[in-house]
Amino acid sequence: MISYKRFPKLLAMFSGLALCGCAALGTSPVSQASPQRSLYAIRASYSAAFLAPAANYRELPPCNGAKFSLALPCSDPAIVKSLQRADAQVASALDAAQAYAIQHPGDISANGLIDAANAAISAAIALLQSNMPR
Amino acid sequence: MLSFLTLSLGIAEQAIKLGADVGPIFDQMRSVISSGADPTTADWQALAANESALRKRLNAPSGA
Repeated sequence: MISYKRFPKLLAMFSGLALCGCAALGTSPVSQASPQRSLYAIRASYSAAFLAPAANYRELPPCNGAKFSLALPCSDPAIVKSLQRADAQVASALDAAQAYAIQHPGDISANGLIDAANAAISAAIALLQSNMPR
Repeated sequence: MLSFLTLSLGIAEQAIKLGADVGPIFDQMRSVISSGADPTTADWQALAANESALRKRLNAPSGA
C-alpha cells in the first residue's frame, strides 16, 4: 500500500515520468505505432502518471485549513476539484480520439485527435505539478 | 521543498513500493505496449477497468 506520508515523492516521481510520455511504463516512443497502439500507450501512461497519484491525493484527509506537511498529509478540496476537471477534459479528448480511431482504422487523421488528447494530458500533468506539496 | 537528493534517493524505494501496489495491471500494460502488436479487446477492457477504478476513486464524494 502506498503510504500517504510518501505521497509528495510519489507525485514528483509520476510527474517526472509523465514528462517523458511513455517512459512512465518503460516503453519506447509510439510515434511510429498505429493509432490504436498510440492511444493504448497514452491511456496507460496517463493512468500511471496522473490518475493513480490524483486518486491517492483525493483519498488523503481534507486539510481543513491546515497546511500540508509530511507529518500530516492532507488534500485541498479546491485542488481535488481542479484535478477532477482536468481529468474530465482528458477523458473526453481520449474518448474522442479512440472513437475516431476505431471507426476509421488506418486513417492518420486520428493523429490530430491524439495530439489534442496529449495536449489535455500535458495540461493535467502541469496542474498536478503546480499543486505538488512543497 | 523536497531536495533533489531526497527525491532521488526516494524514487527507487517508491518504485518498489508502487510496484507492489499497482504492479500487475501496469505490468500488463507495459507488456502490451512492448509487444509491438495492436492491443486486443481484452487488453482494452483491462485498461478501461483500471482507468475506471482510478477515476471512481478520484471522483468519490467527500467523506467517502
